[in-house]
Amino acid sequence: MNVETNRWLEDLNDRQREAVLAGDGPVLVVAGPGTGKTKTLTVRLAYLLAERRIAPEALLAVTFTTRAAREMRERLERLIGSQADRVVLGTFHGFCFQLLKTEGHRLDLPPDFGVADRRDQITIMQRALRRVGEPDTRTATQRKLHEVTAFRRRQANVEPPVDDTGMTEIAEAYQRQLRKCELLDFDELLFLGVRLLEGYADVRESLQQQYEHVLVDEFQDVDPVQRQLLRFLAGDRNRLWAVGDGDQAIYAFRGAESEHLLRFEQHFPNGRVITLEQSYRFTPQIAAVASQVIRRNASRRPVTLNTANASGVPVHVVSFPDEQAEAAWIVRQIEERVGGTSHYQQYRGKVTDTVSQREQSFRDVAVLCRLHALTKPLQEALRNSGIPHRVVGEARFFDKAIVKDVLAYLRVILNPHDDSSFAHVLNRPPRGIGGQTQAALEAEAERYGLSLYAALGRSAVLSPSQTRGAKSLVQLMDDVRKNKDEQSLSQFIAYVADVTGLRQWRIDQDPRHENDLLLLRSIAAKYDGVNTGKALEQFLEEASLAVEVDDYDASIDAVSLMTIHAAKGLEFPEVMLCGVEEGSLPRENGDLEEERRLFYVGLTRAKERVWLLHCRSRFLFGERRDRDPSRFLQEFDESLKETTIMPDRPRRSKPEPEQLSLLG
Amino acid sequence: MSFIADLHIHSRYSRAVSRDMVPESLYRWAQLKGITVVGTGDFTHPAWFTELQEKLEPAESGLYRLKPELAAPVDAGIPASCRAKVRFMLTTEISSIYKRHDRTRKVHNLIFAPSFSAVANMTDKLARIGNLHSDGRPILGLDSEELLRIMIERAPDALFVPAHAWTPHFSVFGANSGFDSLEECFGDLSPHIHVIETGLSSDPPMNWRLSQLDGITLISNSDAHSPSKLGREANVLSGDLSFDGIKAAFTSGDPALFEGTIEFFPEEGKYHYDGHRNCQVRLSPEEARAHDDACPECGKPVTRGVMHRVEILADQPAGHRAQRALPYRSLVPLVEVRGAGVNTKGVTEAYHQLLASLGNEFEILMNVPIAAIEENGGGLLALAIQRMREGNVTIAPGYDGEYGTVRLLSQEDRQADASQTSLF
Repeated sequence: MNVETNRWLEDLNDRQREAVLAGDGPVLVVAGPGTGKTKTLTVRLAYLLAERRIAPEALLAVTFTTRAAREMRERLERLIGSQADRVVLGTFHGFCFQLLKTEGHRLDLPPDFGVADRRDQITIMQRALRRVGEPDTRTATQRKLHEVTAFRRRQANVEPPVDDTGMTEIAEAYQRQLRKCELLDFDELLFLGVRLLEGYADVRESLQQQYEHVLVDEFQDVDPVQRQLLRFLAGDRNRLWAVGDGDQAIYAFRGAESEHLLRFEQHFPNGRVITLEQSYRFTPQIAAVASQVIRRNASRRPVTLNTANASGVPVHVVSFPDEQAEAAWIVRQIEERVGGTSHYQQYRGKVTDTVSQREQSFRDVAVLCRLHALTKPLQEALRNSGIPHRVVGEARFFDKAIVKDVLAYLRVILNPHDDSSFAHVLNRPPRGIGGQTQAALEAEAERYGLSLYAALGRSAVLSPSQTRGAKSLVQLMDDVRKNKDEQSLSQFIAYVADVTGLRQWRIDQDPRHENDLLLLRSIAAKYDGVNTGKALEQFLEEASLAVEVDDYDASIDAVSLMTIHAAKGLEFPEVMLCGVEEGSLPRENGDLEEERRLFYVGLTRAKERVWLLHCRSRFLFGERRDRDPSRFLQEFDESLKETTIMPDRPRRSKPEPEQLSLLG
Repeated sequence: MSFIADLHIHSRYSRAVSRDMVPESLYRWAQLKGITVVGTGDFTHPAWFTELQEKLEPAESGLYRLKPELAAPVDAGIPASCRAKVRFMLTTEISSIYKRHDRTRKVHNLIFAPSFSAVANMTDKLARIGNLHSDGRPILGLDSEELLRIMIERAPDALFVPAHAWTPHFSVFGANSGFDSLEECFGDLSPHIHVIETGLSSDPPMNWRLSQLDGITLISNSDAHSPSKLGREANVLSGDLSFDGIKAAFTSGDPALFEGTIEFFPEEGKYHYDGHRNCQVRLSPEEARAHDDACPECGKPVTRGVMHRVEILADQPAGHRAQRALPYRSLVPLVEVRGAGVNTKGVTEAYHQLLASLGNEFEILMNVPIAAIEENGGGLLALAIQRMREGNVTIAPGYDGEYGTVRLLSQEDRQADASQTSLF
């Protein structure tokens, strides 16, 4: 073995090394939190490249989020340099997108197909519902979307059949509308990827030939469609190397099936299982609490976390009268951690700041909740306190108003027959074409089998002034399309926003739109230098596949506020888990084992300190209710916890009205 | 013509600030105090920025004035003896709380900007980094060096000044959360720092003891949270009355442009000495060292004051005079000169009467002949101001957030004067 490889291997513990050096597979690496999962996976890739002399193009590594993919590629680059760029490393959806771009013509997909985001899905489903004469309210539409997704999964034979009367019609109408806009939704990317591999042996075989090794991250989150995809890619050679942790499987609601992780040996009788149990992340106390809790789950692989880290403090359970008290306490704690955020606090004796060697700052604290709704009072308290914080995974940047507008314009420029996008821009800014006219226009287009764009030119439903407005938009789009190669993508975006009148219209509504536009341009700037037509395609792909975008600069010091789901894969010195109550963790009617895994994932995000917070009364979803502490708080030794009970608020008579200060 | 500038203040949109901090009051009180250029403070706050854009109009290059229709009714209430022009400079203070070199740092920095558009360029970026709405002095999780970089990129003509550079909790040299040098704080960008604000608890001679500050100009501002506190500290300038003129005076430290600063007696500042406020324990640096920096009452660590911190970082003996040393004068606010009843109705009335007869407060404190003060304000006041001008004061230094007290008059002085009834 060469020197480099030896150095990487020396850096690993015995089990990790075993996992890296394991044969061609199938191999399952069961990796508890903080046990070096990503590290092991990247060293495995590096080892295959450097020692086993596998070509980078012959390695396929798939994961679930762009964040994870990016991190993996960066790590790999540090190990082996620029070769890392040629390893095929990305998300399941990204992989299928690329596959369908090159081979989709076999399924009659248009070459310029785009990906429908949530907004597109809703408008398209609404149209489909109108077509089949069903109610198209927002709630109904969302429910139908959900049902169609499940229906298609069953059709793909991956879920047990149920009575699907009536579904076929809606599903087909939805599908037709999607295709008319030359769009695929997220699920379809995977379904069609699988269908392609299933139906076209030449494609399947050539991919199997190309990928000598298939590596999978977060194996517990793989759903049946993805599993099929993996099976086709790995082929009979089964050169599959998967890493995952069933205890961190928290995506059952999306159809993930962590059981295949349990049944690995049945699926692959010659498979090998290696378990990583030594965690480098947290204190022995946190390891003990997490292990004791998760042990209560029946369906799991036996994994017992251990750590050589220095002993820390017990986990701290705090009970509050209500969510306001909880939020106020969290703010106080954070202020205390950084030694106060203003002179005023110090003067009032609200915080102490005599420690001059403080090491804690905002970024070291994360507040996690089971449900996004639980973060609301906290967001308000943090906002009022002025403490820098970021709400992770809330408003996606690509969902902001002006960003959606610009993206829709760009899609129309790239593909005028994208009806969903065209409908979006038609009256933004207002061009005198209201909802009724638009509906009439859509009906007309449908009747003649035309796209909206084509229908506009010959419409009978528009008044003369509307026709002028519509025609000038069509003309404008045609002109803009011709001009696109004369400027860089970021300039082009500014140009589009200006000539369409979009920028001025949005800024008149709220000047903050300008910031969003600027940020969008700065994201696009990385494609400057690439031919604008090409850049446009790549940029729109990035926008539609992005699950999360770092709207904030990573160098900004801020408290993170997010759901447990969003926190997966992250770690923080201190974690405050709030709303640890019956009804929210575990959730009412939730699968108890899944809820326990969520608690486990929350706990194991912390390196040094965990606070488990619960309220005795909480206002949630429109009503105030008494709440019991979560049963999970009883599932570990008393000796591992410290409990503080905040007293009820003193009952006060009505507060006196504030004195009028006319003379003040 | 020399003029006085006080550039670090806060608007009513900042925490613990008087509701009265609005452009009209700043305009009024600047005249009463004798200040020509007053900072707006808080330019990052969206509502305050909008208010400023509505109420101010451009005056000399880079400076603004209150619109005439708003100024006129205010002028009507100002004694003729004090009326003078007032200019506004767009300024702000930003609280950066962040980790650098593995320690949590809390540093306040000032930015002085030459135009509304320069401000807009910066706030565009800052709004994406943090919450500018909740406080006129926003807390950003942004490294001071990065903040400076943003200013250089977005508003290259603006001026960046570390605020009250010595306060223990929130400053570049602060004992609890700062750095040992400007380089440590600002890294490669430290050559862009030409000016620091000394803060109430330090005066120029304390700063002269650090050779690393030899090329740095020391400026002073009030950090006022209510209008009557304007001008507690300030700068006396003699260059061009414009943004660039003031910036040039500050960055060059040229005595032909910058006559010097008006200071508090540093002992009066809240963090001059070491101490522990809860136990009312005040310690000189030597005493604190003798107690191992622990409170002799309760044993908790004391808050290390500015004096002690300066001694730690000083590499020049006390009394050393820096090359760039500018003259300075230590003053006590007029209402405190007599040392009693600062906020009583009587004192307030007497204050305004005195201004009406003698001119603005700085004139009275620094220039009006003692005889004239005696004639209009009584013998005790004249005696007190004379002593202040001579530096003949008795001081109990401030510590751990508690202001120090300065005494200009003794019990005997008061008794000797018992016959007189002047409120001052």
